[in-house]
Amino acid sequence: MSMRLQGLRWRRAADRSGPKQLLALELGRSETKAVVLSRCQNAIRWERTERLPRYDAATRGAELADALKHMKHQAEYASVVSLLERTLLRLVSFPGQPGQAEVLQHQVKQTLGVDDSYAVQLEVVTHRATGDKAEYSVLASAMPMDTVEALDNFVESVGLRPVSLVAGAVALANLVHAVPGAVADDTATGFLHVSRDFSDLLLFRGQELALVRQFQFSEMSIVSALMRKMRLDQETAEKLYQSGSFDISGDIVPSLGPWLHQIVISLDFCERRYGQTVGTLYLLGEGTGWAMLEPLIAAKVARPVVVWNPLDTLTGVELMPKARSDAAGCLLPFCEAFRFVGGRNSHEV
Amino acid sequence: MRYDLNFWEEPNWRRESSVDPLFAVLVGGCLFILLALVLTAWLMVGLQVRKSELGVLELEVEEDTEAVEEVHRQMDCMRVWREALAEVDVRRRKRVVWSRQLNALQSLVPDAIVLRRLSLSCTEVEEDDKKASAAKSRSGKGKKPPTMLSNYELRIQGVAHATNAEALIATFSRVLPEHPELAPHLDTVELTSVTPDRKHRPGEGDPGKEFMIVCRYKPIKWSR
Repeated sequence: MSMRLQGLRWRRAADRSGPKQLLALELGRSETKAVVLSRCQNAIRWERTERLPRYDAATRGAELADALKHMKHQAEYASVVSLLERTLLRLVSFPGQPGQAEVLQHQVKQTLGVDDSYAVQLEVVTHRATGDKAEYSVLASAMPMDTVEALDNFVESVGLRPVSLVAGAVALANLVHAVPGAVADDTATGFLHVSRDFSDLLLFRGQELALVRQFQFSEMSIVSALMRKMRLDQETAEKLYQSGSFDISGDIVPSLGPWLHQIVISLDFCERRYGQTVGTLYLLGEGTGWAMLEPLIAAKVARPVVVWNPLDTLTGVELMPKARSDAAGCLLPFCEAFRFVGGRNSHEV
Repeated sequence: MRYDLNFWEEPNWRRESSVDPLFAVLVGGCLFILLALVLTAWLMVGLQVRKSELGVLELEVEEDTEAVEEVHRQMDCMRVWREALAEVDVRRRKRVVWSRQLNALQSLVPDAIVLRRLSLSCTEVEEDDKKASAAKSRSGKGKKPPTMLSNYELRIQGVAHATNAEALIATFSRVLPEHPELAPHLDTVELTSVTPDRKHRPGEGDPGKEFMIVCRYKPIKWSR
């Protein structure tokens, strides 16, 4: 009751378009990124970004909840982008016509290899029929039910109202669609998101999502490789990786190899399947080691690799001082927050 | 395009935009308390107003009581004075102006008649009248003072010295009630006796006749 009274407002911070303030959390394996977005009249403000302790399921996020206490007065609603383990995202294709929802759900679960302990969300993204052959693609996301419930309880325990819980790559796909000109109808485009804990590859054929890959490889994988190769502590290895002052490509190429190989395989698969070359591969993320990574990736995939900062093309979003410094590293929670705070205009940034 | 693979149920923003129910309950409770306080204050003010009005009324009643007592006192005085006036009036009506009666009598007495004795008596009796008794019983109020009757009786004794003394006495007794001064008062005039003059001495001429006339006056009513 006291918790409810602390957050008491005469009117809920929402209107018919959606919430007026929203706190979006990106739950990573090593840290949590928090973004607060607000809407006043038609102006969208990116109020602040924060790096917070990671969500620890064992303690039900007690440390993170303490850290969030000083932020919860800024928003009443919360969205969560999950980069936690066992959060799956696949783009799967099935022949024929989409069946009933229950049948489709069963098909997807079989394909993803998950049982009934997983919650599955799916969406038919393409449906095409050529001659007597029909095929449809389903973007499916799965997460353990206990994780879904635990996160729901966690958000409510902080005094926030849960709005959305999505996988990281879903937020990335929505970000790509939200930025005008990011994908064009007549070209195939790739987006490689590399973060501290994971990496995702999204390939678009025109406006359609053609392939989704999740990799365990991340910037921390590179740092770990440096630590092993050069016998450094984590802090030194991170600084070495981020500075770009030394040519350490020789030390990290072996660890990059399998990941780059998978990327190449994905690109080739997509090009063979749809007969369309992926023209450009956009790199996005925190960008701390782009100077070193970009040429290595470009050399491997043999096509233009461009570092993409969606914030450069963002119009209509006012970046407040507390958000400006770390905005590039918090794109996913921003995008998820913008999906709701932006209301009906969220597709037209 | 938007991929909506949300594991949580998105709030219904149309419903979310309404006033927070908890806030509404709190405001409703506060309004109820406020209303109760206003109502109580209104009742208290009303009570105080009524009390002050009651005080004013009590003061007025007290003043009115004093006025009523004064009126009663004055009415008592008036009653006393009315009684006094009535007494005076009774006395006035009871009173017969005997000087005028005697003057009238003197003017009527012929020369041949000498009056030897005038005696006036008065008997006072309560009125024994049935009508008065009935009226008394109808009124039903306390006993009224009895109506009294004063019965005056004038006895005229004299002697007539004339040849036709008896006729002269009869005439005298007849004209008595016709005199304007005596007529209003006289009820009956009765010639009770005509006898020879007992005091006549032989040899003194006409012996004359002795007579007595009883004049009864009309009763005079009065009450105490």
